[in-house]
Amino acid sequence: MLVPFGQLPIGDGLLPDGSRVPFYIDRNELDTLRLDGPAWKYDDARFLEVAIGDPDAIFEGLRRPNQTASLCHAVFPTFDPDETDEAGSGTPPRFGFVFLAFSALADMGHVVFDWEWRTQDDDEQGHPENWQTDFVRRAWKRA
Amino acid sequence: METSLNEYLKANEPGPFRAVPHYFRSGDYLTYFLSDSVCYAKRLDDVVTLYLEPGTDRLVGCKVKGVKQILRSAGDFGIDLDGGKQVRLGLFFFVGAAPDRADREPKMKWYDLLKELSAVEFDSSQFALCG
Repeated sequence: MLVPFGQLPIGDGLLPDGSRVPFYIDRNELDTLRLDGPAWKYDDARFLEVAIGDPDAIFEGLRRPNQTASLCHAVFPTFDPDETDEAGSGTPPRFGFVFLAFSALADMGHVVFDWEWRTQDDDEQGHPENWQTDFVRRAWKRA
Repeated sequence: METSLNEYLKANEPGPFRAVPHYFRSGDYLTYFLSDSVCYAKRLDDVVTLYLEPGTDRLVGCKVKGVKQILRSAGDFGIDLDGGKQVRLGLFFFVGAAPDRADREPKMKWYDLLKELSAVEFDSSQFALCG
């Protein structure tokens, strides 16, 4: 499998048109986060695979310079990939918050450049609050 | 050498926390964390996202978006950045806070908190080193 130089594969991610393409993360930037922290953000990268592969919603346009075509995958994780015991594996890691993965189109797929937790919208499961104004449009929603 | 993100995460433990601004070229943004407390993100404006502690909403850090664009614009308008080596975070906060928007008033408490971080200096040589 060919991998872009300096990138680590995350997995195949869903695009708004229903197709799937490889998603990557920059290895140097992950090194920076690993070395200086915060550790929780580094550890939370474990949620990226489920965010891009099985999101609740995908938003397009991040309302910031040069990110008009970038994507945001949003998911309310129902389990923690690190919890392998039966009791913990079915427990949402953070009640009331959704996990967001931000990505941009690159040469051989999408590159995830950031991720974070935001307060969940009161009405839309798996959506962050203020999603109507924080993004240009909702490009895909789980049926 | 790890061949996937999951392999990398399993093989590499995080290091001790350091409160320094970092620039991430792939997304043209920088982050600055005061502590390694778990937090959530709250978008303040087009430029700044806050990192807040759940429950207390204590300010844990911030993210500045569109860094290169802001520095380029500042230079184009002749704003002196002291040689361009060290840039204070206050410049970026100002860009986000300056527009006179209808939603500005409820956000003033957050801008007031950001003033405490305004003097933190960001080493713009990271543009060449990071990512």
